[in-house]
Amino acid sequence: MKPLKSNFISHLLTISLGMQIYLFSSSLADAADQKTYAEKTLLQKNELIIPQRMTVGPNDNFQTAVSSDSKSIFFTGSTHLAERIFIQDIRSGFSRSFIDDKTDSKDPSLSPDGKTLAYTSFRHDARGDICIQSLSDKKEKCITGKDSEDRSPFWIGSQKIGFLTRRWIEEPYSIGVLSLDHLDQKPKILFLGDIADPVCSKEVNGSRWLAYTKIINGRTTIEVRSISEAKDEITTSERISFSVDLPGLSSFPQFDSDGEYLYFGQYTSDTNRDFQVDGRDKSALYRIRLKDILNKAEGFPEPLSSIEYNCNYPSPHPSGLFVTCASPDLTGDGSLDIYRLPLSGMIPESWNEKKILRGIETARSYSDRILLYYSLMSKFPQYRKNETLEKVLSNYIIDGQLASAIFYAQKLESKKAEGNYYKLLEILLTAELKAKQERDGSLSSTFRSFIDEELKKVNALHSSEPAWNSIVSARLLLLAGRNADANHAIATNKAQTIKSPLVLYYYSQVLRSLGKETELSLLESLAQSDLFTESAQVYYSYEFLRQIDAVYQKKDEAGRLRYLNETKNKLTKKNSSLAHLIDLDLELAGFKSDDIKNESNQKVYAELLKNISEEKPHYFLYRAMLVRSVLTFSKKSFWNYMYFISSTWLNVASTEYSEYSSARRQFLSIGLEKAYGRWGAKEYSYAGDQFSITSRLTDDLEAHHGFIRSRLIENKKKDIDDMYKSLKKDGYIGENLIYVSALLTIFDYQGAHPNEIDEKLFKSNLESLEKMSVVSFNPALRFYLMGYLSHKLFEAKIRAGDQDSENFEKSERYYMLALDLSRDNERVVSNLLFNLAMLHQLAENHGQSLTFFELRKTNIFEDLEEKAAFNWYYGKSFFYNLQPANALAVTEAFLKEKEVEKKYPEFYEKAAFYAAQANDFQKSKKYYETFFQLEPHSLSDRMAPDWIRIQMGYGYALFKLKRSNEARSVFEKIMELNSLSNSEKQVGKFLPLVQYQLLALGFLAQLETNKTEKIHLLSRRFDLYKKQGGNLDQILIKKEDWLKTLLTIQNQIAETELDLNNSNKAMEELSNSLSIVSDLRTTTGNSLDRVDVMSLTNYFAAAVALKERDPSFRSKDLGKALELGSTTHLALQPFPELKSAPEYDAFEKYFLKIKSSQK
Amino acid sequence: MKFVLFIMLVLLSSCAPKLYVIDRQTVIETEATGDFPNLQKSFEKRAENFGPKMVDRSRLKQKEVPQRAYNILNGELTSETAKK
Repeated sequence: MKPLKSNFISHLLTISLGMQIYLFSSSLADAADQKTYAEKTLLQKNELIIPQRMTVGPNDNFQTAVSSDSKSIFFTGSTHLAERIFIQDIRSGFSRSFIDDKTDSKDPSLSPDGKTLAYTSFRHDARGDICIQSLSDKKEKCITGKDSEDRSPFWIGSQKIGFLTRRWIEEPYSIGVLSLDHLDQKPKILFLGDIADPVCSKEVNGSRWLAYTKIINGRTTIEVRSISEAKDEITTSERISFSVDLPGLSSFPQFDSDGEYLYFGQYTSDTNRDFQVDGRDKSALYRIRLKDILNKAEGFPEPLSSIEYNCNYPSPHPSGLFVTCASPDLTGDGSLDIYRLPLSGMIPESWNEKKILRGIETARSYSDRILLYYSLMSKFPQYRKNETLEKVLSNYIIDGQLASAIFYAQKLESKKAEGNYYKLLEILLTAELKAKQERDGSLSSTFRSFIDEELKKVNALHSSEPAWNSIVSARLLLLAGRNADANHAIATNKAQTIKSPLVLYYYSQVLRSLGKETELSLLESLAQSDLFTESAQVYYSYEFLRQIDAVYQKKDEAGRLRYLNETKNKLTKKNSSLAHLIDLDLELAGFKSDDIKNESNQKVYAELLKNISEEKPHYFLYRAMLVRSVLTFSKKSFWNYMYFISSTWLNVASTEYSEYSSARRQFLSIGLEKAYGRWGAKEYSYAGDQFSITSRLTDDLEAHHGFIRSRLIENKKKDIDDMYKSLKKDGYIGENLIYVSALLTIFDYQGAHPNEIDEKLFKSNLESLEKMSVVSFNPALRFYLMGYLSHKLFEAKIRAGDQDSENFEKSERYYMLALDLSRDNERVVSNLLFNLAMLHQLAENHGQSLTFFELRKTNIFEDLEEKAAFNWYYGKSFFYNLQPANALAVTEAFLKEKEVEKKYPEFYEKAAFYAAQANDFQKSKKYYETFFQLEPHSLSDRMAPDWIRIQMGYGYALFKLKRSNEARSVFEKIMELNSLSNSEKQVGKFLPLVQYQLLALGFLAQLETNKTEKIHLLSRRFDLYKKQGGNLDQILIKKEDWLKTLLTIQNQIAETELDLNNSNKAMEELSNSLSIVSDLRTTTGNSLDRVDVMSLTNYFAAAVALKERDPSFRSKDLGKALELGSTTHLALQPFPELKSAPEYDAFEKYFLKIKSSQK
Repeated sequence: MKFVLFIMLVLLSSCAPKLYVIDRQTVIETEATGDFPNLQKSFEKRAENFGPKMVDRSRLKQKEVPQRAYNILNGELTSETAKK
């Protein structure tokens, strides 16, 4: 059955009119002939291959070794500067420490037979030892000792290990070799020098090769030597240096498993602007045939990755090329992670010359262009000429990679010698690079002197391009802050006399810096310059439109259109790219709505399409017009027209070339945008239709998700079943049915059981998802769902009072993988961040939780309820992080929003609580009273735990404000309760009524001024507290603290009795406390506890005072007291400092007095 | 005769307020602020999702659809002036 006949497509066709139908059905006809898997294959053949991420997390992960069965990778993970070796299962993605957690280790290297891992360990030697560990028995053996610094192990066959070694830091490294059969011997030293990253190939045709990085005068090069083992002797040949014809520094060589290629990384640009190209700069990967190195053949290394991905540490393996790449995370900081590419790198092996050339034309980044030019030069010698070098130079200049640009300027100067043209360029680029080292706002005298010297050089050189000298001079003067001089230098220049596009480029920069022309005027001139290629003219024309957008923004559309018309009328070249793009913008302004039935819209659209189509032969202009149209419609939320333009783009793109994959990807994303647009307009039926079209074409998980939600919201479950039966039958969906099925199950379950968790159901769906092997479009959503299921399983355990580290770790990992894979997808990222914040809050990782809340808060909220949920938990997060003032600030800010008071009065209670925690009791009282005045429904049950808790908070605030009568009234209400109404009992989250009444009694006692009444309250508190002896878990008190509190209350009663001159009653109370002192000692085993000692001191002090008053007085239980006191007295003797502390000093004084009075 | 148990003042301060001060944040929460279980249940549902936000592009921060396909690059500044 052809997709054209399915119901939802027919439905769409009936609402489309005229040309729209033609366009739409033509794209469907295109789609109808293609199956999902074929499309995937098609895409894979026609686009650069993106490195596939293997590790996640905030740590740096680098240096890979792959197991022989290709199922695991070993790598170094760095956390807080501590490095450890990890092993990760490639399929599940779970990693664990391979070497124990207590030891730093790095440089994993697996023996060729796959049985032994060698690495650098810091367990026994802070300078590093080489250790080996068998994978079967995990027994570690260190083969070097403390007398040397050893690192970077590598294998020579499976029986010998080479490594870098040196005795002292001042010495250069040597390459040492040890045989596993003779570990007791000293290592054989092969040679020494400033060397790093040694590696050895497998034996090929009787030969084995050693490669390493050699540092000479601060620059690195790779050297190769043959290595031979004859009669147990191991020797190396003379070195063969080879320098690659690339800018920057070579590093980290690695042989592939066949010994055919040498892979390496090249730090190409000074991306961190320290004027040196080194390990802190971006790098790309290359490979070169070993035979070309040995034969010193002229060649060009094969590029494997573009600078954009910043990859190094190549580790080629039959299952792929494992690399370490740096990528920015959400906070903007970078982290290193392991990725995988095919052995031939990012450019598909099937690409021929034509495809590479087309790839250059359709490239979407300068790094991609450079990668493809390098590929041309590598594969096709005819491209190793100046023309190509100029193009590479040009891309480096535009992309701001100055160190690399300098390399090519020097190269071209040596080759072309075109009247100092490139020499002058080199001077300019070098000055710009040096300027970047200067601090903003202040130039060093060294730099100024340098500029003076360079100016002299410029003046002494004669260029074939007359204006070039003055432009270079002007640029140098600008860098030195000498604007007036720069202005003078170019005073006589005219743009019309410039002959070269590069010179014009720099001339415009000088004009821009001097403010001699407005940005718009400059762009207008550049866009029309015949010196530039079509693509450059289109670029400047497009930038012109973007600059107009920035100037007028959304406020003055009429002004913007007026300016466009004026510019158009002034243009001398009516057929220029600029003219066409201005016309396009004016046409786009003619759309008043997204209504495709509107006649005016239809007319404008027909004209628009015609004008765009006419430019098809001019690829760059045509593409710019399509991009401008799509983005303009997107900004206006004209989803229909956006979709039509997008499908036009796709229809025209040739499937043979990389433009097709770009067109395809944007079409699919626009399809989703249109679907979301429909959803936003509450047109759920249409939204579902659009999602289903996209899912049919791509098997994209986001499209599946959107379709299911759209149908569920209208309760059309049968449509869902029918759709997936049809997709499955026609082969449009494969393993992603597992995702669809899990999604439906969870939606169904949660619809019927909100806020409940069926552990068995969630676990079985999680296990099914974990078994999925296909990486589909948008795999982020699969990981997201897996993270969610693990999160819920973790939550179920926490609710039951258990722990569950396994599901927590799974959840975090899956969420992080999803986050990494959906970085550009704001819809996914914003929800994911909220999930991560909640997960960490549940796990009581409050710092981490707060970090995710902070990241989440900058994204949008769908509605007030979501915003309320966010602020609720965000405030809590600050509270849990002991920042109540911030918690209060968040809550107060939210309370200012419209409708919050009416819909969520509970935020007033939270504000009151946080204010009290921040010791602002006045504010706390105010917020409590506002909350009560609102008479929220949540307070209607006067026996609910919430009511009591809120009253406790309010009473406490009143207490702290010394508003005694009001506070008393609050606490007395709590004492009147007999029970609490039923509430959800979650372990650790629910307290019995008695706990609150104990607290209330404490406050009431403090507030009571009548001593007799106070004693009554304290006694009541004591009795109630004593009854809780068998209930301590419920009131969250430890036994020793319970006993101490009982003692405290008894002493308070005694003191109050004394205030009333009831000495005997006071003494009685203190006597009664002795049995509790005894219990406390039994519980803690400590006779020097402060509360214990103070209680005894009070007894003895009271006894002394009463004895002095009445010599016949006999203290009750004196014997018991003396026994307890003796133990404390003896225990104190070894601690003279403790004895001198006031409470212990008082104890000694009164104890000894009583004791001596007994003699 | 009335004598002062000077440590009483310290002990007095170990009444209810001390329980507040020395307990964990969650215990403080459990004692002195509302849980609002129904409200929390609805918030929890909004807080924890398993898919993308269902909103149209105009509501997102990034108004332009983020796609590499839309990048317009500058042309090469080479000595050829022939338009392609």
